[in-house]
Amino acid sequence: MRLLFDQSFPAHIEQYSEHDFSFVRWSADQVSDVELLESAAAEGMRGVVFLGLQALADGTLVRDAKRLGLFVAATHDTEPMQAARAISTHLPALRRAVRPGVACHVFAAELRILKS
Amino acid sequence: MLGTELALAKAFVDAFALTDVYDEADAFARVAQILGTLETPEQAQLVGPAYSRAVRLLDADLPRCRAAADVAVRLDIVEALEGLLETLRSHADVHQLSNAASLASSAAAPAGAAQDVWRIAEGANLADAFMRQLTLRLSATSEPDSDLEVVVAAQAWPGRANREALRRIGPSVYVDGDADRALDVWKTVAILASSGARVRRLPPVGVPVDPAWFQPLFPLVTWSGLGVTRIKRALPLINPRVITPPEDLSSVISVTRFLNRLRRELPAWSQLRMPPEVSPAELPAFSPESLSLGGFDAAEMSYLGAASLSVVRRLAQESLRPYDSDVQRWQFSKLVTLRIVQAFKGRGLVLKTDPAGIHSQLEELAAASETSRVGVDAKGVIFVEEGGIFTALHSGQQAIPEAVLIDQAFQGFRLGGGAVPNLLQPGRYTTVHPAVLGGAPVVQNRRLSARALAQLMNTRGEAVLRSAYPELSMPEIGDAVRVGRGILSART
Repeated sequence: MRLLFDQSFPAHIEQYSEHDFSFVRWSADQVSDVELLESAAAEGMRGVVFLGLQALADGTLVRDAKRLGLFVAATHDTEPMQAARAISTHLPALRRAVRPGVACHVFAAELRILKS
Repeated sequence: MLGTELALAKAFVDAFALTDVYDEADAFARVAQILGTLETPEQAQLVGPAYSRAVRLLDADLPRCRAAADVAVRLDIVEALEGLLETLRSHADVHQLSNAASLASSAAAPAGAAQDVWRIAEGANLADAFMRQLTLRLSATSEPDSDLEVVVAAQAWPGRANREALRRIGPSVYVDGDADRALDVWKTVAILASSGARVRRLPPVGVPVDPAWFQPLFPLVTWSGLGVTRIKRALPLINPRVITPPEDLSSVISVTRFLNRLRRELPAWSQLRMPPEVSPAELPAFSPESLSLGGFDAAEMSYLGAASLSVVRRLAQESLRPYDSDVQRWQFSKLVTLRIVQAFKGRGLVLKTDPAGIHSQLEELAAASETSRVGVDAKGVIFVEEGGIFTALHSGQQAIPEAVLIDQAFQGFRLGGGAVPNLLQPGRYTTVHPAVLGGAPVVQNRRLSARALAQLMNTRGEAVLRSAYPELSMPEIGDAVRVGRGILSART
């Protein structure tokens, strides 16, 4: 399965890919947050990961992700290297969390599933 | 060129001749496209007679002639009845008789049209079931006695004002418009019909509105107060739901906004299809849709709103509350309100009204700004520029008081000896759009947060940053880092 990482993640985020669990970083033109989800769904990706909690703040994207059958996550850290490290630390938990309609926050110490 | 009746009629014929006989949806889309591309009022006034002519020209090809009549019923091109009756006089076809009956029952149909349809049907020696169907369409007093008959009856004009019948056939929208408005009327009809609406044009001026014809559940699209007056003359106790279409019917955004307003006026059980979605990133940042987007945190509110963190926090307790007090994030509308408040300060003026009052009017401001410049005075009164003169939106009072134009609040300005950045372009290569990254400033044409770049620059330095984002140029990095640092150092 593949996850789409937003462009604010550093380019090397793709190197954290594992067998059967690969990461793709957005590198195309600017699109809106909703369009990023739609692009991920159209490309057959399982979910989208945002840098920082801002994109998921008002709940709209979480609803859109549910509508599209996508997993969606956001890192608590907005410093790109620390956010990438949090992802790499929680790879097993992240893999387990990836399910359609599930949303989670990725903290340095834990991965927290949001209540629906 | 569609400058003559014959040319327009041939274009309509082509709409049917060039499509699969059984693909009426495709033919309909082509007709709607022709109506949507009319250029002059003169062309628009030819639509009725040209369509009638097209029906006659298609007579030799019965399936396509039927499709043309179906589309006439759907678009309420009553004028097509003349051509349709002519074809029926040479050969009575039950499908076409049904269409003729629907058109003949329109309030705008010529006098005696219903009798003409009856005469043709009686002379054709048709089955009782079909004559019953015609009765339902043509007689205002016959009552349907089956589910199918309910639908058939609803296809007639007047529509019986029968809620249950209307529920079966989808949303209806009344369209008002005199001959002078023909171009707007046909473009609007094409938009509405393409969205699944059943269009009902008001009868021409001089023909009274039949009280049984108007169903107050459905809105009236009108360009003047005349349509409302005519309906109130027929139904004094009814206040029709009125929508004025946008001036620019060629803009996808205007049309989407128009349809959104219509959707709000339609019953929940009877809704329009929306046109292909407008990309949120294509919406103007100052639009009713964009104002509800965004998730700006206190530091971004402070930097982009030109206010110290303490001012943001104070306003958060009073008039500009975050949408969620736990996460302390604000929508774009709150940021724009803060900019307006600060722009007043920047001009040495004092806002004598609660910012909440301005915030509550922002959607109205955004809609008004489509065609004109909009300003707010110190009392919170909205002024719209018309012909170079500012007029109060609600009272109509003409004045040019000490006001801040919305444009000025979006542009950079000076405040307290410092420079406030442009709201939508805080840096040369850095932009803000509430639909992108929750409104966080980003490198232009990318989804790269300026704040994230500044944090990385502060912690790891330029070499790491360049290696992490090889797609960025140095000017882009420099500009985004400057803006990002501005957010990180939000003042207390």
